[in-house]
Amino acid sequence: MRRSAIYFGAGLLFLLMVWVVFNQSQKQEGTARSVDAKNQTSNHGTASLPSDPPKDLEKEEAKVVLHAPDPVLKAELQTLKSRLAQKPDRETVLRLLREFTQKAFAANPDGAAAALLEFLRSGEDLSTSLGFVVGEAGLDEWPTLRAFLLDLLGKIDPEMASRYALDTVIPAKSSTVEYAVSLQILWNHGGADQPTPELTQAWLGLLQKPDWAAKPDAAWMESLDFASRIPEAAPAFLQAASPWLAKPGEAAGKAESTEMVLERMMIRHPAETLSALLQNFQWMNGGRGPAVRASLFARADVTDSGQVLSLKTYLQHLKPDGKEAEFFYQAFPCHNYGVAPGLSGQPDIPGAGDIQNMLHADLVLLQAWKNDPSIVVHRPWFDQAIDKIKAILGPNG
Amino acid sequence: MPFRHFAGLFLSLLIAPFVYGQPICPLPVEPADVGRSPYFYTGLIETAGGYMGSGSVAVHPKLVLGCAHMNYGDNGAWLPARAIRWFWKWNQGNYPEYSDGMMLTGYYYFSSYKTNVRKYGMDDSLTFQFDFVANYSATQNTAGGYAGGWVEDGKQYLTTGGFNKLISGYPAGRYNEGDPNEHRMHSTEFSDNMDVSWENYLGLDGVETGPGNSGGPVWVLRNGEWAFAGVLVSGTEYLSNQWSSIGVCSLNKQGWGLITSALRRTGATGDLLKKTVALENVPVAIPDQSSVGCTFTVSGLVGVIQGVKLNLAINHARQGDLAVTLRSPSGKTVTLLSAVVKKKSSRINLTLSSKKVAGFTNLSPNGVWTLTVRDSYQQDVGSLQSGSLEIMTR
Repeated sequence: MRRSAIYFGAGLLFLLMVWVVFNQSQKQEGTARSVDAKNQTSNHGTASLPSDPPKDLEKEEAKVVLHAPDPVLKAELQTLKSRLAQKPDRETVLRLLREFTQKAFAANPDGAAAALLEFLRSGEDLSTSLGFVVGEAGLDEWPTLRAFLLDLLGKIDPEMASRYALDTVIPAKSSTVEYAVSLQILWNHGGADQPTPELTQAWLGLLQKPDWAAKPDAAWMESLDFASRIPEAAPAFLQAASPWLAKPGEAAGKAESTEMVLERMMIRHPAETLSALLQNFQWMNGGRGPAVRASLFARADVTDSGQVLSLKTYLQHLKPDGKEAEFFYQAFPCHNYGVAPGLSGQPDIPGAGDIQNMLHADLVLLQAWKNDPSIVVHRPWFDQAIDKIKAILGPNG
Repeated sequence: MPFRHFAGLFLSLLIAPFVYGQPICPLPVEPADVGRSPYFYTGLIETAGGYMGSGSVAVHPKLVLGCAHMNYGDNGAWLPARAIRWFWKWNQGNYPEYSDGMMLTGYYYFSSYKTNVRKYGMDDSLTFQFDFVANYSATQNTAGGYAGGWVEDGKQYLTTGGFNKLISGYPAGRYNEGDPNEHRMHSTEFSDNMDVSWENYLGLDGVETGPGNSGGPVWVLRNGEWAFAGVLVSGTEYLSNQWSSIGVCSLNKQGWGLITSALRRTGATGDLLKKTVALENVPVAIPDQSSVGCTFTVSGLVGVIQGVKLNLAINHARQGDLAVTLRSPSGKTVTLLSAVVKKKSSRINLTLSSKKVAGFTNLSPNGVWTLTVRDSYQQDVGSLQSGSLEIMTR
C-alpha cells in the first residue's frame, strides 16, 4: 500500500514536473518570439511594450505606434523637392510625381507612411504648378507638393492620413487644397458610402468659411461634391447657395457649381433634397433660383410615392401662369445628366431599363392629376406634358 | 455657331489669299447618296428657341451624338429635354416640320465643378474641348435601328495618319433664307491632319463649313469604312479674304464616359458594355517548372472597365504549384494565385467560377489579355483546360 502510494505520488510528481517543464518551454518560446518581434520592430522604430500593466488602458490602446521613416523614400522625397524647385514643365512634373508614387508603393508601407507624415508635419511645401484636377480614379493633379503627399498618404495608410486630416488640416483651415484632399480621405476612410459625423462637420466648416467662399478656388469648388453625399447638409447648402443663384454674375462660378451639385443631390438623395426645398421655399427665389428649383422637381421619380407627394406639394405652391411653372413644364420629365468625376467618386447613373416605367408612370400620374381639385389649375400644362411624354415614348411606347 | 478668333488678323487678311487660297467648302449631298454611309447616319437637330444644328447616330441605334453648346440656352442654362428634336437624314430644301422629327428623351453632357461651358462661355478653347453631348432616346431607334461605326481615339485618327475625313451636317448659315440648298445635308471632305489646339479640341485651316453645322459628325475613313471620330464645334468662313478654319471636339475618354452613360440609360447592356470571351488555344499542357500563356482577345466594348470576372479550369496534380496572373492589353498585371511551398498540403486542380478580379477598373478593355499559368515546383504537372473572361464597362 505504501509502495503504491509512493509510486502514485512519484507519478504525480513526474506529471507535475512534465507540466512545469512544458509550460516553461512555452514561455521561453514566447519570450523568444517576443524578443524576435522586439528586435524586428526595433529596426523600424519604437514599439511600445509596457512591462507593467498600464495605468490608463484606453490611452495605451489609442497610442499610435510610430515607425521610422523609410530612409530611401525620405531621400527620394528630398530629390523630388529639389527637382520641383527647378520648376520643370508640366509633363516632367507629372512624371516625377508618378515615379515617386511608384517608389512609395514599393516601399514598406509603415516606413513610407512615416516618411510622408514626417514631411507633412515639417510644414514645408512647394508648388507643382499643376491644377487641382479630379480624375476618374481620384486626383490627377495637385497644385502643391503637400497636397500630393497627403493624397498619397491617404492611399498608403488611410488611418494615419485620416488622423492627420482631423488633427491638423481640418482645424487649421489654412489651405483649401489640403482641406479638399482631407475631405476625400475622410470620405474614403469612412467607407465611401455614408458620411461620417467628422466628414459632415468638416464639410460644413468649409462651406461656412467666408473668405474661402468669397474667392473659391478649384479645390473649394470640387469640395462641393460632398454636399451630394451628406443629406443632412441639404438645408445648409441650399441656404448658402441661394444668393449665388440669385446673382450668378457675382458668384465667381459658384452658381454653376451649385447647379451641378443639386443635380447630383437629386440622384443620390432625392427625398431629402425635395424636402429641403419644400421646407424652405423662401430660398431660391432670385435670379436662376426658380429655374433651378423647377428643374430639380422636374427630376422627381414618380414611381417613388414620397417623391410624388413632394412633387404634388410643389405644384400646389406653384402658380401655373408664372415663370417657374414654365421652367418646370419645359423640363419635366427631366432625364439629362452631367457626367464628370467628383471628389466623392463617379456620379451614379440611374438604373437602365426603368426609364420606360418612369415615363409611363408620369402619364398615369398626370392623367390622374387632371381631375385633382388641389392642382386642377395646372391642367393645361398637364395636357402639354402628356403630349410631350407620348412623343418621347414614340408610336410603340 | 460660335467662331474662333485668332491673333494676327490684320496680317492674315493681307496674306490669306496667297497662303490659303480657296478653302475646302461643303457641298450638298445628292438625294441618292443619303442612303449610304456616312450620310445615312446624319441628321438635323433642333433645340428650344429654334436653334438648329447637326448630329449623327453612331455607336448605338438609340443615340444622337452632337455638340454640347446646342443644348445650352440663352439664359445660361442647359436646355430641358423637350428641346431636343431629331430629324434623321433630313435632306430637303425646306426646314422640317415638327411632325417630321423625333423627340429625344434626354442627354448626357460633360460637367465639372470648375470647368464647364457656363464658366468659360461659348467662345473659348477650354470650353470646346468639352463641347460634346450624347443625346439619347430610351424608347426609339434614332436611325432605323442602325448606327455608324466609330474609332476609340478620335484625336489620334484626326491628327495623324493622313486619313480621309468627312464632315456631314447642315451649314445653313452659308445660304440666304429661302435658298433651295439652305436646309440640305452637306458634305465637307478633306485629308490633312488636324492640329491640336487644346487637349481634344483640334483645328485646321483651309477648310470651312458654316453655322448650323455645329454638332456635325467628323468621320474618318478607316479600312474602307467611315467611322465617327468627333464633332464639329467651331469655325470661320472664308469671306472677304479672311482665312477659313474648323474646330473639332474629338472623341476621347471623356466623350466615351458620356456615351456609355447614355447607353446605360437606354437599357443597352449588350455587346457594347458587356462581353464574355473564351480563352484561345486551349487545352494546353502546363510543363513542369515552366509557364504557359494563353490569350483572350476583346474588341468592340465601349467605355472603361467597370468589372472583370474570370472562369478557369486547370487540371493539375497539385494546385499549390500554380501561380496565375492576368495581364490587360495596357500591361497591368494582377496576380490571381500564388504558389505555395511543397511542404504545405494542397488540393488538386484549380477551378475559378466567376471570380471577380480587381485591379483593372477604369482601364481600356479592348485588346489582347494574357493569362499566364506557371508551374513553380518540380514533379507535378497539369493542363489548362478552358477559361473565359467577362468584362463589364461603363
